[in-house]
Amino acid sequence: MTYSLETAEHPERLRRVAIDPVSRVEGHGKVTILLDEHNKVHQVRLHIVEFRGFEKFIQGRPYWEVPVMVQRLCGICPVSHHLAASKAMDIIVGAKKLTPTAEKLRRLMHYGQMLQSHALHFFHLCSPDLLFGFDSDVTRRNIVGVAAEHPEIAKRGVLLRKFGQEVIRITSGKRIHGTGAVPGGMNKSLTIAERDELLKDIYQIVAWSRDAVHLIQKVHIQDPGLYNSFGIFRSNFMSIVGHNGDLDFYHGSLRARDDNGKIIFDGVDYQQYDKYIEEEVKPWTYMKFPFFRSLGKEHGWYKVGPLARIQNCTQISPLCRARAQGVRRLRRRLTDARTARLPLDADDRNAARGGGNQEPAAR
Amino acid sequence: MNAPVKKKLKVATTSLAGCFGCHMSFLDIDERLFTLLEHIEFDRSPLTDIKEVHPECDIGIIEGGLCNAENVHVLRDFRKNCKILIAIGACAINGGLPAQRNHLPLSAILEEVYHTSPGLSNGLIPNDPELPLPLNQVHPLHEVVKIDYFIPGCPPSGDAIWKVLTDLLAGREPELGHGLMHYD
Repeated sequence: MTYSLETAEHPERLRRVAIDPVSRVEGHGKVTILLDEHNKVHQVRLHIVEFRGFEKFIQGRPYWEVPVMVQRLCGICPVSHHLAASKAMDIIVGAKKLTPTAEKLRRLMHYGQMLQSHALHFFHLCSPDLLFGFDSDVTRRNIVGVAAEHPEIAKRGVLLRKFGQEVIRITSGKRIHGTGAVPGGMNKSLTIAERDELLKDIYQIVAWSRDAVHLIQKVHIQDPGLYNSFGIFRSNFMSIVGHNGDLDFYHGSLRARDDNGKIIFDGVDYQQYDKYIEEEVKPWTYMKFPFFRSLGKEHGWYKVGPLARIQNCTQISPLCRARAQGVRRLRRRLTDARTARLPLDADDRNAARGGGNQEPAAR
Repeated sequence: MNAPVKKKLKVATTSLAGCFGCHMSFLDIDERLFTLLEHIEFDRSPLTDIKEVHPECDIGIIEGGLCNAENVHVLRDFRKNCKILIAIGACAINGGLPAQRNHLPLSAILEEVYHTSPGLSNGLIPNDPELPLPLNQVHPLHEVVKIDYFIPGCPPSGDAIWKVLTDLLAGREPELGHGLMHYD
């Protein structure tokens, strides 16, 4: 793809502003911006500045090392890499089906991952912007500032993350870089005592998670003008979806939608990913640029991650559904649907018209 | 005037060629974070938007080894400005997993990742001046600057990090007892 602001015509005449390092995000990066004398932006780039070469140096290692090696790609989401590698090694060792217990434990491990990473993102990293504003004092704009002025919010963030980390520890042996999943299954069970330890707090954790959704609704409603337009850009989406298109964090097939919610492909076996996805290399970042082969590199780029999963799935659990519905209702009430339109909203409109959408979105 | 408040120690942290796992382990001190914040304040860190290390920073904590020229620059900057410098985790201490590339020529790895691996629509090795030059090998921190303390582990546990920091705050020589000293 080529963004309109990707490359300035005469960079030598422009002023360079760098955000280096990019902080309060999950990863290493640098942003450079080139502006003219009127402060008009001519070029913006996110540089991923680190090259590591995991693709190469895992080659030739014993297969059972791969799940513990590749999780060290990221200490924030190690479980996701640990499980992705374990699933790949399941195929290598011919484990077509795990025991039901092993699969449930792997799923539980990943739910722990989802919880701790979302808590980190929302409370530790983003909440200072949401509570104090993007331009607030730099010395206050962090989790320490939140702890000073909103101690209850900070504490809940810390405890939500802690619970997720404990789920990971109990299923994988360690909070970070555990060894629970092995090719073909799991090497750790869940004892009754461990199960009860988690059950003891789970309802409090669910209640606090709901409160976090209420918090973001409250923040949103205070400045709809800002939040309805902030960070919104139309794009294709891709994620895995489970049986019947359910939201799934562990296993399923690939589904992609365009920016109107229309299916591009669905039910694709992820082992065939290379038939659908290609990658472009650019000189100014070590990150590659994946795109759908069918749409080409200009139009085939796509979003992944939480937003894509929610937008893409056909249904989610009743509890999440109620939350998602609340958020979307709020969005509709506050916004001009044209500017803030997301694929789910497009589906809603189709459904309202009785249009032939075969994939009713989550509601 | 209120009674004089004891000055909080400034703590700067960064991840060089690391995975942020040691930073996450730092957060694994859980609610003890709030106790710690009574005694320290964060300076440059991925958790804050402060980009420069304060010239009189008390403690610098660095995870990750050195994989590119910028890592070396940041490390020297931390050494210059921090009274105490701590190397945290396997990568900072011996290069860790990223040092698995050390037995391969860098050019061969770049060639494979950006030119010959399947699924690429084009081939080129990123070379923009904005990108720091990769080093031929990944190095541990103590090969470049003096390090005052090492906390091993991949990552060290939150308890181990808590122990070292509370020892330092109390003016004790940090010591990791049984169970806190581990290398996995």
